[in-house]
Amino acid sequence: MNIMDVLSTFAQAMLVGAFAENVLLRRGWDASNIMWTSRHRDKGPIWYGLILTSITTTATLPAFVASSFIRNLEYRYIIIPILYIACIVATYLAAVILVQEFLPIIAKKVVRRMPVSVFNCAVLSVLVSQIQTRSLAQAIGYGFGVGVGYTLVMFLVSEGYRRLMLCDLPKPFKGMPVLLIYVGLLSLAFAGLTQG
Amino acid sequence: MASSSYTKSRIGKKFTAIWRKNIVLSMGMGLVPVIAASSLRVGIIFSIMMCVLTISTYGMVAFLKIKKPKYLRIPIYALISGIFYILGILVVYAYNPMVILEENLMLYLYIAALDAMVIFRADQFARHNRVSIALLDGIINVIGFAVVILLLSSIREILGNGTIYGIRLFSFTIPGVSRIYFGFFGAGLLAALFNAIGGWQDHLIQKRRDEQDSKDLRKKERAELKAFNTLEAKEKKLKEKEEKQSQRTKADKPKKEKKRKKDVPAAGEQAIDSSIDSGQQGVSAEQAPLLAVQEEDGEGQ
Repeated sequence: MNIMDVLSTFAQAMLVGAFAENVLLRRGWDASNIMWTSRHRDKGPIWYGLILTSITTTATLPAFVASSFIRNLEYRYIIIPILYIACIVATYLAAVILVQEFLPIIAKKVVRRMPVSVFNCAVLSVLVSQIQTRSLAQAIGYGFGVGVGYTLVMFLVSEGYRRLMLCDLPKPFKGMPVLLIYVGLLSLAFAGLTQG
Repeated sequence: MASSSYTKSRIGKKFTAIWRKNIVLSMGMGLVPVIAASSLRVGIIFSIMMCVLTISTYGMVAFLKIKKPKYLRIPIYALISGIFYILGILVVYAYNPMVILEENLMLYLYIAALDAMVIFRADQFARHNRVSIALLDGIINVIGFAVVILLLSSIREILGNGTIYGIRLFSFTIPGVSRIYFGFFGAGLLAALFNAIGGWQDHLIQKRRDEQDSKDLRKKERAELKAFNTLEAKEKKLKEKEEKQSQRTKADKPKKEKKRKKDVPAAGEQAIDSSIDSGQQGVSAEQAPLLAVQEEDGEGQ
């Protein structure tokens, strides 16, 4: 397998993760956190997206190794979540130590936002999907793509929410209901785009 | 006693949170299974899983009461939730052993372990409270979650497949209802419905409160009027009494004066006569009766 093959596999997996299997719009994973970040623009969605992308990319490494051990186990469905959560925790703690050690200027800002960005369904869903992947480039590409897709959708949803709040809506639809309907419309558009 | 009444009021308030501040539709937690469930069977499976995960994680978090910074607490809660997932999947397996063969459904069950309803709600609420209160919060959150997921999944199954729990109702179907986007639409419409019900309930409560206030005001006014009337009547009586008394005193005055006039000249004349007799001069009319009495006494002696 030469370098071009690896790169093409990576790019293909990244596009699949970002668009064709977008965690929110195509799968509905991590809808809770995207709703929260869209309604709290002041909490820094850029940081949120950056942290999430870096964790989905780096945590695929230990998850890929772990999934190679449990792939053929009969009762793997019992231990899959705890195993992958342990992978996330290990990556997260390593990231916290690295940030505190080498980036002390932004450490406080990043570490404060890390728990919400890391411990959510999107990150676990990326790792859980590793059980079906066959190569490391594919796994890392998919993880990176999911992070990028998630960040794009988060900006799209938060901007949409801001504009919706400026409209004169009926009282029962204000807040969460209109946001859910808006995400539903986006999801429908994505379904049309990807023929799903 | 005080704590029991406190707990009772808390229970009452908490139960209204099932439809007024529903954890899924107003806080946006636990949305993933709600959006994914497109049949009642899947809705029941998710309800069982979330019930085990939520209640046991809240209980454990409240029991441990970890006093570490947030960036260290949350990973511990995630691991606790991952451990309780094992219990949850065993209960789900007991309910429906075929579930492990459905890979797509299993993916959603795996990621339920890191749902915001389990981890972040535990950090927000259960960590600060007693185990019993945290368990109660878990039960109420699960009821709220189950109400939403069962309602939405039933509607989606009826419209999408024309069945309910596998039993065919009619042949007419809308295939798009089973897709993810309808999960968002359905959840949004259900949230709007819950908001409308909450608003209507608020309106009713406000109306009842206004009615009660106006009733109280009317009662108060009536009482004030009554008090005013009685005061007026008392004053009237008092005035009448005073008038009567003044009339009586007016009527008595001329009689007394007449009597006095009658008494005083008789005694005065006698005194003047006696003074003339005894050769005393210059005795006033006021001294005259006294002198008359003195003279009478002297004669007696």
